[in-house]
Amino acid sequence: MSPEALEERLRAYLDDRSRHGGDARTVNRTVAAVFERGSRPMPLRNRRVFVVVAIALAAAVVVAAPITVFEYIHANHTTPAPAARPTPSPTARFSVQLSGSPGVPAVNPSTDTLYVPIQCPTSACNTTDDVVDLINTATCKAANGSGCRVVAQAAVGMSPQAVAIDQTTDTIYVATYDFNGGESTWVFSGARCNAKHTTGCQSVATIDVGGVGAVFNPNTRTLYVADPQGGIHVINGATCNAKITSGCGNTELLADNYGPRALDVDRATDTIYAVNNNANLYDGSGTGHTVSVIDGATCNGSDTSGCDAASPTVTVGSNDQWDAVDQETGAVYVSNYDDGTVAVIDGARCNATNTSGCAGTPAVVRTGAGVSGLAVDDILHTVFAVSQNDDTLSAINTRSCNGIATSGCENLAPSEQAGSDDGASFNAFPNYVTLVPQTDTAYLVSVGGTNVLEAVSVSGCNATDARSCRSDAPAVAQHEFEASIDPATNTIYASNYGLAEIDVFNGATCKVAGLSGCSPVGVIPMPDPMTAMGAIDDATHTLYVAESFRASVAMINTATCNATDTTGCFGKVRTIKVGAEPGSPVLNSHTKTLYLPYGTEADEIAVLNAATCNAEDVSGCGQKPGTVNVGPGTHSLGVSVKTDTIYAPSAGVPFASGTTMSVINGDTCNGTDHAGCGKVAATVTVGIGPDGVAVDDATNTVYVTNSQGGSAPGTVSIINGATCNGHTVTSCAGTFPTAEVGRAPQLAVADTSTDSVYIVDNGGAAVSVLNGANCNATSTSGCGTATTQQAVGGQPTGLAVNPDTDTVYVMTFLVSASLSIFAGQR
Amino acid sequence: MLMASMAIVEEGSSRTEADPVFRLAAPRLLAIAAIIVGNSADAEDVVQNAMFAAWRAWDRLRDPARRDAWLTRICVRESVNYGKTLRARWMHEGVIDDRMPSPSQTHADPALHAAFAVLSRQQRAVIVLHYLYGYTLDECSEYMGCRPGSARQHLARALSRLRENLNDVT
Repeated sequence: MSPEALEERLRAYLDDRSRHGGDARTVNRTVAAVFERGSRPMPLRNRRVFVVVAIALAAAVVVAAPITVFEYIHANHTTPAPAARPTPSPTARFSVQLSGSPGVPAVNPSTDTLYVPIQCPTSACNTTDDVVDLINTATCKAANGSGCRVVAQAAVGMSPQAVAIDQTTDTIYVATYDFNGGESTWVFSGARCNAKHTTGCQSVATIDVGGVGAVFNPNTRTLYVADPQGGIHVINGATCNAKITSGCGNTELLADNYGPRALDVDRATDTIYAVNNNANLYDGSGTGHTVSVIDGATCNGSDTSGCDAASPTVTVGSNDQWDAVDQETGAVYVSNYDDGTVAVIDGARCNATNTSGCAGTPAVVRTGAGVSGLAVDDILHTVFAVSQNDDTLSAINTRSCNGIATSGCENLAPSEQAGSDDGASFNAFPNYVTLVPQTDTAYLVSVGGTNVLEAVSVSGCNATDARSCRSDAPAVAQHEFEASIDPATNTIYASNYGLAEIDVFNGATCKVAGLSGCSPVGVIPMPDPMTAMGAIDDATHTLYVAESFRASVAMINTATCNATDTTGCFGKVRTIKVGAEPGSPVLNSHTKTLYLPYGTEADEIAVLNAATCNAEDVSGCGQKPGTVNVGPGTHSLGVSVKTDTIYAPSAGVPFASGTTMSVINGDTCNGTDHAGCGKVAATVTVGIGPDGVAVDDATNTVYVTNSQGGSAPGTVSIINGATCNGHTVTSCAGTFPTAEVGRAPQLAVADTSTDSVYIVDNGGAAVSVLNGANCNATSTSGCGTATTQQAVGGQPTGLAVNPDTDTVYVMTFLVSASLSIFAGQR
Repeated sequence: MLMASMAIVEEGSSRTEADPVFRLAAPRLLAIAAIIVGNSADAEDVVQNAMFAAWRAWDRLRDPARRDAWLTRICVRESVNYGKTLRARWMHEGVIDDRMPSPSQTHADPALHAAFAVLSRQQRAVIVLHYLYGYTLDECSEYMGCRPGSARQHLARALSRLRENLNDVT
């Protein structure tokens, strides 16, 4: 059976089974049982815990209260003298093709060797013989990429996840962990298995425990391995290393029931900080946002007396991923994936012997969307944080943002692009970083993702040098989802991401030159957040929006609810029922027809007569909409008024499995005539995952964004709308030229007044701006160089352009910088 | 803050907020759980546990728009781990795990049903999330609480195992 046949059979089977998931009675019973259980008093045992914790907290407050001066001296922390070194170009980057999907790498600077665990050396990924790739960091660095290749491999067991290195004995420990069961740690001699000597790349011993994160504490010669379902394994490195293996059979388990994922050690205080990532489902405490503070002095390879003791925890942000200790200041940096921030714990007041500061809320610094890996550069005094969802490498200043000093934590950390956009070395979703500070090089990988490692220069974007950092558009913290603009009143209508409302902004006061006026002047209550914003009909003063959770389209009167008159914003909002999960409506203003995608598979288009169903006239709102069947995953539509054609790209279900766009004849499928809705005029083949479309009738061009699911460089297909429309399909069967844009392009908007096409790069932190004057249906010669990028907040989702004021508004995932504004291209 | 979060769960505004969210998500969560744990009775328990955990931590979720993803994540992890707690309990109490659905039950594709039944819960989880709900493997790994590479491995092994088992039974 072919893979496709098996997948199709699986989908049919799963679809059949899912139909029996839960009827109304089961749903009622289940939900009622939840609240019935919740209304019962807490069991006595838990109440006791509560009282004890409360007393302990009170005691901590009493003890801490008299301390008013915090003179901070971090024992044994010294500032290394800056080394003389050649500085690479700030934009230099080189890539290495790895043997498979990487784990978290580690570098031994003594032997110039980077060890990269490879989780999946074959495409089938069904072998127990995984490997570690070795790379020479002396010849593969930002200043020189001549040696960027895998120089050797070492065989390990299934699913190697992380590497820890003991430089004293030059021992390489490779922790493996498979969620099906099976874990181990493999021990290698770094002296006999490095970038220059590879004769001894066989393991010298294996340890029966493993995990997903590991760190070696040279002070106590102890290896700690984070096991997300077991705790933290403690191994004596003095008796289990490259030369002595007698102690490899002896391990101790340090209790940590909160799913430890990553570890780092503060050598000055002998404290191990364990990032607890997994939620604890059984006591409802909902962890996944704490760091355990472990006393390494009483739980190490030679003294395990304290391993059973409970460790204090620090509460950080949501879905914490990784931590890194700055050995100079003792600050502990923790990445909060869901929040797009890095928490900064004051290690001086929260360590193994002094926990007075552990109960407080750590400072946070804003970074990027989906921030994951962290690494400290003690020469540049910078913590580098890589964010996989917007492809940024942020630079946090360790001297001004370290737990004691917080002035440098207040602003968005400056950043540069993390992964390359180039085809062959495209690094999708980079999420971990390892540094060689001496060469200004960051090594980036996508753990569990692309088989690529990149060596990236950090010389031009760090705590002391920002010359190659991105220049972000001004932004304000208004967490909006999508927007529509009415140029007639200079009003921006933006659906809120978290609140059930549409916010009304005054474009005259919310502009590039004046962000202080970017507070809503009015609010339209809606039944749910994230309303899908749609077209505005100037003739009837109607804004059409889709209530995706209610299977309806709402009509808002823009004459009485706008930037200068908000009297009608709180009035009754009229709605018309359409199909399930409707998306953003588009309007053909000539035929007065509203088109919108809908359906649980997003594979249908509803066709409505807007002439008799608008904010001023609801006489026809009882109409039965026409229906057009299109490909699954149709999320946005484009309309050509000139040819009366509707373009419907279908990204596919699962997302990015589609490659087509439907072309619909509006002449025979409109608000008053549904006769032609049963058949599309043509189905054109575009790129992978087409998700957005913009039509420029002035140049007869249809621009289709091909998201590629974010796993390959994004492109835009350029289609001639004059020869591929609802009436003429002569060029619809051809292949189309493309222009390169940013990562995972989605929504597109054409500003015909300036010949500019704006495209949100949902997999990055930018808006691609395509120059339509030299990249259109009749002139594609400039498509190769037609794109520029404007940096905005991370993971942009919404986009609206006011052609009258030439202002572009972008809604992004990052709450703290969620409405970016910049001047359009002229 | 800690004191508040550990207080007894009571009826209140959070119930008013949570109730419609739970009702909207319940059919999908029940379907996911039933496919992962193998039967609808256990699935109800799983979803109850997941919702209860979510409700207790309701106020801690900073972004209400992420509630659905949050619930899904808790539900998937609860479904995967439910097997482990059952196994542990049954081993402790001397009860044999005989609750795997029988191939003789009525299904549209009994051969595939039999092959599917012997997959691990992680493998079932990645299959249902990826193929039925269209999540990318990165998203699957988030919901399952594993690294993306592990989700890819679960999927590859699941497909390989399905192929083997289908050859055995067809």
